[in-house]
Amino acid sequence: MNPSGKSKQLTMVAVPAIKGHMEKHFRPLLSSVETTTGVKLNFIEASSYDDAIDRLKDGRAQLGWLGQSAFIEASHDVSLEPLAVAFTAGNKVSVYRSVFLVKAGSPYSEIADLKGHRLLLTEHGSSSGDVMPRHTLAQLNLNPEIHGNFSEVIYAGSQESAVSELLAGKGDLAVISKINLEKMFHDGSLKKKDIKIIHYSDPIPGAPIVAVSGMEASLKKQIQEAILNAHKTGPVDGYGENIDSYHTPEEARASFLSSYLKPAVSFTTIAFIASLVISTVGVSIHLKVNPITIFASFSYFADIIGRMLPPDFSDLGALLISMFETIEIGFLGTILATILSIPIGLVSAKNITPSKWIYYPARLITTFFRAVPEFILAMILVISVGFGALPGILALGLHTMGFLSKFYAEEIEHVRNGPIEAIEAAGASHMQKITFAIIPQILPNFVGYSLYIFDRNIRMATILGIVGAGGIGYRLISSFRMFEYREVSAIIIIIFITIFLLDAISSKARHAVK
Amino acid sequence: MVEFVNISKTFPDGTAAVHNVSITAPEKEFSVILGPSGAGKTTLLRTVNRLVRPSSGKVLVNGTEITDANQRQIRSDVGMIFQQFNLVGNLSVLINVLSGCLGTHQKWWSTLYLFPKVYRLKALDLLDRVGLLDQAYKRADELSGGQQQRVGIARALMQEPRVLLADEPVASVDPRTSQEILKLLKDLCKEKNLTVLCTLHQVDLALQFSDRIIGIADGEIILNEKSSKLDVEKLKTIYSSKNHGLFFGPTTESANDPQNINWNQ
Ligand SMILES: Nc1ncnc2c1ncn2[C@@H]1O[C@H](COP(=O)(O)OP(=O)(O)O)[C@@H](O)[C@H]1O
Ligand SMILES: [Mg+2]
Repeated sequence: MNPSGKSKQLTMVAVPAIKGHMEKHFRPLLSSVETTTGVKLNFIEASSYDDAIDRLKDGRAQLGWLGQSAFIEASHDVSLEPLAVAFTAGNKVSVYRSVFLVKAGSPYSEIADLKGHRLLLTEHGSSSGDVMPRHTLAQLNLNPEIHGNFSEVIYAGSQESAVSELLAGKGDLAVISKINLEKMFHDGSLKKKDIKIIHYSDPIPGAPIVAVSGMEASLKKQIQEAILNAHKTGPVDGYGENIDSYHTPEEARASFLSSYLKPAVSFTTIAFIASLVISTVGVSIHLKVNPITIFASFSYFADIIGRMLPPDFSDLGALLISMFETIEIGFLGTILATILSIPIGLVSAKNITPSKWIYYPARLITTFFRAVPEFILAMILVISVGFGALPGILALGLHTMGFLSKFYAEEIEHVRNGPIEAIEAAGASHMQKITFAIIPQILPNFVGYSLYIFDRNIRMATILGIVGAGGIGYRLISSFRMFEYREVSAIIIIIFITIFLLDAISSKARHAVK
Repeated sequence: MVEFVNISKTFPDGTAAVHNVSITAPEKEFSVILGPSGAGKTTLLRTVNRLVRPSSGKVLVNGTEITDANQRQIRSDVGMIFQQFNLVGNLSVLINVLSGCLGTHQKWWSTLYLFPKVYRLKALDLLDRVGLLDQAYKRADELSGGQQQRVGIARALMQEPRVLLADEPVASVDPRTSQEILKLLKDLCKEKNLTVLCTLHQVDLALQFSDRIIGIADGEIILNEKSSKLDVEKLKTIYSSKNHGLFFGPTTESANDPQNINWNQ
């Protein structure tokens, strides 16, 4: 056919993955390549993995199939180039696995049960019967190279003898290729009921057919082309299940990696987003939230704004005094909350609470005050202690005590344990542990939270005035009731400037303690 | 190639960490910056990608001076591996690796952790190269230290850098893992023709894995030679004048000569 290929002959060597059957599996492919290229192809089944590598090294063979791991190992000794890799029907690279076998009826049901027993491998250098099993066992914390994991590691010589020695009781765990196992079931040399599979390895990608790098480039190319196209003229075979074609090593690599691809967006993510959208729409319908109404009421909104302008600062002195009063309420409320929350926070942290008889009541108190809005607390307190600043301070203090205690408790629960252990190991007492290992770790956040609460308490204090708990809120509601919208806008501006300044100060302060 | 020209760095608090350093890390070589803790290794290394801005002097990466204006562009050519790995613990291993290519993949959907298939295949390929293909979908913080550093390597290679910086890449892992990781790093960098600058404080690891050793003490270069021309004895004399906390002991097995060890990490 091809004049340049005439009279040429090459030899392909394969490792004995299925002893005595290798030529049968590779001959269809080789015949096809012979016809297309005119090169005569001899085939030799090596006696061992090392024998195969030797033949490629010293020139007795120019093409080879070495299995995955021997191919990688061989590349240190002899320069090889992968030509093609087998694919199965469905255009996927052929992969196989190691199977971990025990005798039927034996007491072992998982790999861990075999610690200290005898391991049967096939042959040094075999992917499925040596390299992969060692790797898999090492990942399961039973590395055969570590003394004590297996009482004995035996090379049986071949896949078949590994199984027969297992059945003969010369070992407790045998590892072979799934391909060989299925072949043995198929040809009747092994019965399914005699063994038990307890584990499968990760997939091993099918090994390439290789050429020695010294081969003339055009010849190599010609052979590679022929292998890649062989499936077009007739069925091909090889080592593996359902092999129907050969592809380039690059395609094989991409195909192998693709088997690890998952969709970029997982089903749970999509389901989560979808349910969020559906419930938002559903809830809006239920609450009769109509976006159109919002736009329709825009003119009323513009009208009210118009009546608020320009702001009326005629009573500025009195307004500023009220504003200051509000700040004072927020300040005292925060001091109260901080003082209360230190002991309560300490005893409601799981890791340092003295007893559950204190822990649960403390949690109950904090949850209660967190749950009741300060607005409600203030209304109740106004009724019981009268109008003025006091109900505001108490309401803020108690409500935010609930928050601070919870923050502190959580902060304490999440401190790093290392420093605590170190202090404990030095023989420290419970109290010393708290001051040396816990407080230093939580202090920056402790101060940060308190400043944050101060900030928010001032904002809340303006509102509390509305129910009669003093400060600028009281002025605000009075102005509203008397339709003095221009004074309302002046008050809003004062509140805005105050909050803005306090915000800046407290964020500076929080940075300083970090 | 990375050239340092009269680089000095004085921190705002007055610490003079690096003083007038002029050296060149040659193209495609594995250069180790060797020095005791506090010598200024990290500071010097970080001037390359401008995580530290030098007080004076300049750094040239492949012939181009790195400035405020071009730092983003140059950074995409410079990969970095950190001592503490700096993975995002609650993202998957795969996403961590993919984050390495954010410098080139700037589509808006990348901020939603979405990457085209070619990128994902490439990340899987790198994970396979560092031996972690089967861990791709685990959370990064579920991996051991050694495994996390392998992810760090894959992430750095994902951006296809021409220069790789490694700041004490094995200071947080055990000796045996140190060997494995440096070997992997060296092999991958040779294969991808990278110029590597790696800081270390372990003399034997430096000798074993580097092409060149750049010795630094108190912010000054005291040595710059091909590793093949150096041995432990020579290094000991060089460093003995200033008795620094260099780690001379073998890190491969248990350090068996306690006199050799002077570790003030
Ligand atoms: N951000 C910083 N501010 C002030 N001093 C620093 C800073 N970073 C490092 N230093 C100081 O600079 C010196 C060199 O540090 P570094 O470069 O981290 O050394 P190495 O990496 O060799 O251990 C040390 O004395 C260190 O304390
Ligand atoms: Mg450092």
